[in-house]
Amino acid sequence: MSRTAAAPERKSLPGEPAVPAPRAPRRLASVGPYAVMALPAALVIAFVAIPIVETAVKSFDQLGPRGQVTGFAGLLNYRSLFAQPVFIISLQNTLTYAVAAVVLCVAVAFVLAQLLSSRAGASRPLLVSIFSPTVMPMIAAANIWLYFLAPRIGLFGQLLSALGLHGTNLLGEPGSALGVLVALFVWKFAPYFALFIMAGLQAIPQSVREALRTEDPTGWYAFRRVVLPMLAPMMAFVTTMALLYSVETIDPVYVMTQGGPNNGTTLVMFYLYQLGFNYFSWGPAAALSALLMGSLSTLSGLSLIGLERRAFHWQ
Amino acid sequence: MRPIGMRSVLAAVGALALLVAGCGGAAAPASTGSASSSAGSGSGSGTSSSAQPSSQPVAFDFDYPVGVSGPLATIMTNLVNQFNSTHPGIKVTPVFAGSYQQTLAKVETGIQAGNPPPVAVLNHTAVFDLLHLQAIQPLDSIVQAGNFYPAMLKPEVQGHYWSAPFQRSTVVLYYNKDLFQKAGLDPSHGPATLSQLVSDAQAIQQKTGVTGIEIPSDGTVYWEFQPFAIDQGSNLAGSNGTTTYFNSPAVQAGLQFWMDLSHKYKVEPVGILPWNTVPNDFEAGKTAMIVHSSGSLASILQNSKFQVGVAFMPKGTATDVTNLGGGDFYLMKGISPAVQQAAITFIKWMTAPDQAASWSMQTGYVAVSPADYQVPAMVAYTKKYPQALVAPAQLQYAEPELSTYQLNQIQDTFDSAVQSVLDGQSTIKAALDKAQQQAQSILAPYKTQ
Repeated sequence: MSRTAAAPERKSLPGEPAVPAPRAPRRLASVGPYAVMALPAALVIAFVAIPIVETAVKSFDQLGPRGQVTGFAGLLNYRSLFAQPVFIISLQNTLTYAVAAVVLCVAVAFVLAQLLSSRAGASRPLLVSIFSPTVMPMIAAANIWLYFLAPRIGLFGQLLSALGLHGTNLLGEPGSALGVLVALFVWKFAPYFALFIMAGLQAIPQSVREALRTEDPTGWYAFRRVVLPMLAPMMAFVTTMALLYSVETIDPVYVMTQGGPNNGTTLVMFYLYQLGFNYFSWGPAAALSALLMGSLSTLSGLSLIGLERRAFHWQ
Repeated sequence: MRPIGMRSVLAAVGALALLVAGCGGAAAPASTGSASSSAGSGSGSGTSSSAQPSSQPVAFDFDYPVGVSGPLATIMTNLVNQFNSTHPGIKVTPVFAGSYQQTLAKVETGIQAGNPPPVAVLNHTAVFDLLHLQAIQPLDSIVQAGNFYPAMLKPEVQGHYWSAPFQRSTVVLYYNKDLFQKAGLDPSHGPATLSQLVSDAQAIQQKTGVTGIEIPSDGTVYWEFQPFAIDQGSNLAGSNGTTTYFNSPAVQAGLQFWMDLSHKYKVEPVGILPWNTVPNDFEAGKTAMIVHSSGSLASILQNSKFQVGVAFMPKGTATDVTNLGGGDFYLMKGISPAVQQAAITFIKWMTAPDQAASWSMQTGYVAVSPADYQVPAMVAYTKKYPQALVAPAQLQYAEPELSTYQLNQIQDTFDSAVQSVLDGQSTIKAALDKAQQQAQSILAPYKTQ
């Protein structure tokens, strides 16, 4: 379309045929990338950008039972969202879950990366077994854990019975059920983030390592004052990603607990799903979507800016 | 720079146009298809519903959930294929849509998009929300001619029958006859009263070491709890869709009995027991009794290596109780007259005795009318498995399942309250008072209508 539109303009120019001939491929080359981008861009616009804007706009509208706009609501949807006791519970749960999951996950990933970087640690079977949770889809992983944790008949229950602890049902109590979700998150994502940290460790040049080895044989000072600062941007990146992933957690909740028992594992994403597709409360659901979108994109935006500023360049 | 910018914009617009055209193209055949099918059957319906094999058949989708274990999707597909082969003018496509909740979500999304499946099997209790969406049409003619069990038609809402019963179940007590015998109890019947339930469970625990009873308490707890409340004198909700009795003395007493089973009589494990694994414990001989759906009968019989007894719910007062659950056929609004005609034919056929009996035998659901139990195959089946007759015998005592507007939210509110008590986080009175207050604030907007 663009080419036919542009062609007559060029043709009208006076000039020998030798001129357009080399130009044509050049023109193609300049259009090419945009043409390649057009389809994905159109898809993103149609299925991401437009729905985002529409959701944000609709969060200020009154929505009928069929999701149709029946009038302007102002902040009514937001008010009714914050008036729901379960929403407040879901915020508290998400906070507890995210803090525990991120801290544990980053710590475990860090230790894993150290172990795997040391020459003794990285045997092939060990690597495979450590990374198998990472490549597994979350739904599958959650289902496996569900079987492990089934009271009495599950592997976990039987192990505990062998130790004399009968009738343990980890998913049956709010606190331990949330703990299981944290453990699942760490199990699944720590090896993945360990990869990033390992990459960060390996980016430290050999010459620097050698210098450190002669200067500081015990390694603690060198680690604290040289390695850690150099790793800092990577750690910041990993922490941000872990935080985003943890706030977005929904699949294990859906599979393992459905938010129960007694809303003990209702995380904010699951509550959003409930509001929309279970309670059909479209107004508050749109409000919560808009809030989540705003806060999560602000968070990732800020961390990207911070990352750029603090990035460590070898020059 | 500028021409490149222009070109890229043009390219993007072009791609978007293509995309839109693609969507339009995909949508177009569907709309023309339905138009031609309605036109084709329009000529057919003038003469007879199925006498025109040459014209295009009336085609429509039928969404259904699977709520219990077993190969139900295969059984359903076979049944629908049988309908299609005996009704040349109609072609029904069965669409498996997940659990009850997922199916409802799918149907509601279809309603919002103005493109609902003409027929769907949904929870009997979804009626208030579907009415609020102005999504369904009454099925008075089918229900009045169907001679269904009256308990399955309660409550009548706004003077109409809105759904035709199809896959229904009751709450029953399963018990292990072998363990009863070992404990010196009479295996020919289960405990008739709540106090017998406790004494039987205690006897079994003392003599065999096996847990006395398990009652599931995750997911939709309200359902298996309802008989215990009704038994004490009040159901969880009224029949108008906006009244709840969550903190009534009867509900408190019922919940107290649940707590006593674990804490006072110590015949049930403490805490929350999953709906899905309770039957496994029973089949593995780890518990002597369970409260579960009559719909689980087929798989429990198949997986148990002992004599399985099925009994009425034990009662605390003079009368027997249970409550009903399960799904019905619904007919949606906003479909063409030809499809509507075909859909009614389909629902009638599916709920007729031959099909209803076959569905009941293969799945374990209660058949929906007394006539279903006179079908020869069913007579032979119930002779072999007399346990299958317990649920229909219960029906005369069955009360309607918790059904209100904003149903999922109301159910979750009650379920959370029960779980907070079972987990020891809240007292019975405090939890139920809070649940009642929450439920009333959720339902307040519907009361003024």
